Amino acid sequence: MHLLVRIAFIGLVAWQATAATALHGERLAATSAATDWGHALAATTTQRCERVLGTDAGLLTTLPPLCPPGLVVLHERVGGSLDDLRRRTTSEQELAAAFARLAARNGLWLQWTALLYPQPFLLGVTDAITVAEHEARAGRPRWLLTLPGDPEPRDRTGWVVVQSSAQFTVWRCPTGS
Amino acid sequence: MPDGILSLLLVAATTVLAPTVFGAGLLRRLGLPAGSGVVVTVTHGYVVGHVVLALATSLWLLSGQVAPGLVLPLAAAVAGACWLRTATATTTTGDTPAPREGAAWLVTGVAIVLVAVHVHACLATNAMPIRLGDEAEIWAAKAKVLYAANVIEPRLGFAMVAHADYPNLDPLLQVLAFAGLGRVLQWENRLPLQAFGAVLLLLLADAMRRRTRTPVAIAVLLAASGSLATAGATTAQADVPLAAAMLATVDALLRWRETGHVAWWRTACLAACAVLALKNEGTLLLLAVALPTALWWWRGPDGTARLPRRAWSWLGAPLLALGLHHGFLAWFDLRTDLVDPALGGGRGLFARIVAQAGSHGPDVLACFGRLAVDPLQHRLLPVLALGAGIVAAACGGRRFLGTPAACLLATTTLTIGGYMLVFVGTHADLTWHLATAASRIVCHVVPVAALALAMTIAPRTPDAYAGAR
Repeated sequence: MHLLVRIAFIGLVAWQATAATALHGERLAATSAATDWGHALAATTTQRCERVLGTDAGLLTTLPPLCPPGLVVLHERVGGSLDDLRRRTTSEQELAAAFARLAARNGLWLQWTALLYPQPFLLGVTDAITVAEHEARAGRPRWLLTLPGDPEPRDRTGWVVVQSSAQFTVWRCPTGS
Repeated sequence: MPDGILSLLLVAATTVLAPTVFGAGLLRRLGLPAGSGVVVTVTHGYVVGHVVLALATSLWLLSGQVAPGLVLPLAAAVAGACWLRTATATTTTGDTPAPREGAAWLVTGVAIVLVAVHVHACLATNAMPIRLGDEAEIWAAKAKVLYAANVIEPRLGFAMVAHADYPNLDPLLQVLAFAGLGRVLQWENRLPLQAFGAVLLLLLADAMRRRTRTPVAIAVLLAASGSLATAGATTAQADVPLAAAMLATVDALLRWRETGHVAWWRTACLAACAVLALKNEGTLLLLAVALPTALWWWRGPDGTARLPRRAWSWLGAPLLALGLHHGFLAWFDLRTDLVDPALGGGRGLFARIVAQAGSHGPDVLACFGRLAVDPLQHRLLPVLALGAGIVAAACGGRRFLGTPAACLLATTTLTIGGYMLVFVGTHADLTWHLATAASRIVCHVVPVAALALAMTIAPRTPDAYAGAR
């Protein structure tokens, strides 16, 4: 390879190395400023969950002691398309707010599911109450977790409230009900 | 001691230190010469140690966790330490280590600084538990399902895993963390995956220190380190581990080619298992390594890299890894959406590539073209490597085509070309698929491209095509 061509390539690499180094420096400064190092190094897992989930992290400590090992707790799957939301809203502002609510609710279920498994296994299904009753009849006990706004099995026979708070309610559907 | 620090130290001991000792001991046991150097033994040892230990972790899970999980890293560390001790005492033949002059050590020094920057970023990321995105919904979710298999039937648990068909090495590394501490973890399980970022930097530094001139090695290393963030090096995702395993395979093959030590051939075969067991892309990556290597072999290896007949049997290791993955898929009736005709509108990947070439091809070309010239993504390294290769081939002709650098450039080209074809044949929305994956998966081959570039523009020894200047 000709020396000048070689130097040209080396120059381009040196330019990219300088840019990468500058970016490392910027990231280092930004990360250092944004990180609470006491928390990052010493916090317990519960504290780390509380930091990202706020009061919603309460479920992570409340639910596991209530549940027998291997229990599947059903919840209503977050559904609905953008068209559904458009039909239910009258302005773009309302639509954006409804979409944000839906995304936040979905995100919350995803995080709870990831952080709780396997004690218990949160499983999102469509028409959770009917699915839970069907499973219970087949001898597979299923519980139900509802958030405010979710359909609740209050009027249906056999269902018992295991735990209730302002944020969520845990229901048990006894086997054979 | 605070709970977080204690937990981190325990996981570091069980999932980073123990596999490293095990892997380093195993490599010595397989005949790696004592003079190979600490960095290369530790980095290759980490890759090889994890892939072999993952097999033991799988058997432990299959046995219903018959013994306490801590036995796995403890036994591995003890075995590795014993092998290191006996091998060090008996091995006298030396490999050719990387040059030891003062300037060359600067490359390792820069790599250590970059590792410190990476550790800083990892500690900051670990302030948050694994809860969203691919690291939670694919990798940690599968690890939890496998670890809790005796509590919840995996077939049911896989309902929460976004791609249960993805290979098992990443989840098994996390299972090792769970096993060591005897419980499911929420953030510490990133550690064995994050350590691959450090391994990648050290491995690349050592590979370049050995084969290229110091200033260029430092510049290329700094530039290549820029793509760690693009690949999610601080997360529990499998892209950076795959890039590290790929580089380990390529580096071991080069060392076998350079030194003729059959131990490096064995190491390459074991590292190839990690490539296959980390992501489905691993199959394509290995094909991209195997084709140029086979061509070079067919043209006639250059004296040193002879292979005893028995050494060919080591090719059985990657085949076993592939077989185990497909056995797992068959056992749990899992399918890979990209290649399964039933999940791809009745057509397999190759049929879709042909059918969609006209509609998807231009968009894929445009996207990869933009990636090639966007410095923020991969620091221009793949495009510079290809450019340097073309110039070197034009100047050096057939002499250059026979060099290791040309082999690596062919691997880079085949990989990126193969990835482009996969995007052409996608059954998902193309815009979404390109936006979420293209930049990240090119990172798998950036270290190889970086090494190829450095070896082309500034080889340490007088290059084979120098006479054509």
